[in-house]
Amino acid sequence: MTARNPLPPPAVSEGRLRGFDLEDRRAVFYAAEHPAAPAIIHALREAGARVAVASADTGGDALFKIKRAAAGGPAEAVDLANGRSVQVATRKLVKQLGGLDIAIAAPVAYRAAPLHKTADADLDALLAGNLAAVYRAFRSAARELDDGGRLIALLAAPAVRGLANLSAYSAAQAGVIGLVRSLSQELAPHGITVNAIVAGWTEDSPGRGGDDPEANVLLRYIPARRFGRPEDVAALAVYLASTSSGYITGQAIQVDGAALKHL
Amino acid sequence: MSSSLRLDGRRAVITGAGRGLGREMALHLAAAGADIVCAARTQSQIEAVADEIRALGRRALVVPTDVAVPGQVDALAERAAAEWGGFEIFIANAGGGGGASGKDILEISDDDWRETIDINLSSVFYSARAALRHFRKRGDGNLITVASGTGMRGDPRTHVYGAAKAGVITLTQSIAVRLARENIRANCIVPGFVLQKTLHDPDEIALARSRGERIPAGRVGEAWELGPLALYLASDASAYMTGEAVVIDGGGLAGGFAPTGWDLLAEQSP
Repeated sequence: MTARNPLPPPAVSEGRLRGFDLEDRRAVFYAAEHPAAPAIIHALREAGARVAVASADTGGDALFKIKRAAAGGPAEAVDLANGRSVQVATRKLVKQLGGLDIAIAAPVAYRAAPLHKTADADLDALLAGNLAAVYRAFRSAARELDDGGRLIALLAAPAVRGLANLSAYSAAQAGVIGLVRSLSQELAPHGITVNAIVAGWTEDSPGRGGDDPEANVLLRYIPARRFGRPEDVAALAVYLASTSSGYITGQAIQVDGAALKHL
Repeated sequence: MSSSLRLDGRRAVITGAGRGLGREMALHLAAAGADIVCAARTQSQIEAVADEIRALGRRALVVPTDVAVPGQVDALAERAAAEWGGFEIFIANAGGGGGASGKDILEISDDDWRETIDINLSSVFYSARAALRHFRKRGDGNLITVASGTGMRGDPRTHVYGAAKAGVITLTQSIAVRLARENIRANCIVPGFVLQKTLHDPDEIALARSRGERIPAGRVGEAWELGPLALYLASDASAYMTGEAVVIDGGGLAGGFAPTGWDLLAEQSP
C-alpha cells in the first residue's frame, strides 16, 4: 500500500513535455461553476488526462451546465454542501473513469458582508460551501484514489490575507489550508500529495473595479498591474496533478502577480 | 498549455550547473528548447553538462564562474550577452554549506559567517544584479533563485546557511514586487532534503533511507524532481506567478509540530 520508493523520472511521450504528462491519469473536478473550471479542465485534457466534472449544487440547470463543461466526459450534479451527495456522485464518476488519480476541489460559495450583518445562515453557508465542500470532496476522493494520487484545492487570496467585510468567507477559505497541511501528512505514506493553489485578484473577483490602472487603485496595488486569468492557474494545476510533483505536498502556492508579496 | 511550457529560442544562464539540481534544471530547460549558459567553478563538470545539452540539439556555453566574486558574475552575464546577444532566464542556483555548517553558534568565526553569507546570499545578490541590469535593458526577464527549507525554520546545524537562505527568499520577493511592472519576474525554489546525485555506495544509500524516514513523503527528494518545477517557473506557463517561494520538501514544512509519522490515535508510552 505504501509508496515509499522514489518514483522513476516521468516518461517523455510524443508531443508532450517531460514532467507535465497526464497520460492515463483520471481526474474529478469539483465544481464546474468555478470561473477557472473550463481552463483547468481543458489543460488537464490537453495533457492527456480523462476528466469527470461535478457541480457545486443540484439546483436549476446545474446538470445542463456541467454537461457542457464536461464536453462529453462523465458529469454529475452534486450538492457539495451534502456529504452523501458528494460521495454518491464521486463513486459514479470514478466508476465511469475506471479509477481515480486526481481530484481538484474549487469551491464557489461567496458573500461579502460586515460581521454584524452575517447571520448564522450566511456563516453556515460559507463554511459549508468552502471548507466543508473541499473536506467532503477530498474525503470522498481519497477513498477512491490510487497510490500516488493528487488532491488539489483552488482557493482565493482571502485564504491567506485579511480584508474587511470578508470575515466569514476568508475564515472558510483559510480553513482549507489547515485541511491541506494535515491531510498532506496523513496521506503521505500512500504517496498522495495534497496542495492548494491560491489565486490572487482575478478578472472574476467580485468588487475588483475596472481595468484602467489610472482609475483603479487596486490594480496599481498589484505589482503585475493586471488581474489573473483562468489560464494563469491551469498550468500549475497540471504540474501539481502530474507524477513529477510528488515531492511537493502540504503547500499553498500563490499565483497572484505578487499582490500578496509586498508590505 | 503545453505550448506555453516550450522555451524554444530562449536562453538561460544557470549557476551551479555542473551537478545536482543545477544540472537537472539545465537538462529540463534544454529539453523544452532552451539554450543554456552553464556556470560553475569546476570547468570539467560544466563541460560534461554542456555536452549533454548539445546532445539534446541545443546550444551550450561554458563559463567557469565563482558566484561569490561579483566581478566574475558580472563577466558571466556580459559573456552571455556578448556571445548570444542576451538571455531571458537566469537561475541563481549555486550555493553550499560553507565553513559554519554543523558548528555550535559560539564556534562560528567571523570568517565562517562571511564565507557562508558570501556563497549563499551575496552570490544571489550579485547574480540578481547582473541579470536585472540586462533584463531592464531588454524590457523583460525571468529570475529564479534557489533557497532552502532551512531558510524558513530554525535548524541547530545551519545557523548561517539558514539565515542566508531566508535572505534569498525576501530578496527575491522584493525584486518581484519592484520589477513586476517592468515585465520582470522573480521566483524562488525552496527545496527540502534532495539528493544531489545517484547513490551507489551502500552506506550512503542506507543514510539516505534513514533520512527519508524522517520526511513525511517517506523518502528524500531526487535531483530530477527540481527539473519540471524549474521549467514551470522559467516558462510562460507561470506568467502571473512572481515573488513566490515554492517549497518542494516532501511535506516537511507543512508538518512540524510532532515527529514525522506521530500517531495521535496510538497509545503512547508514558
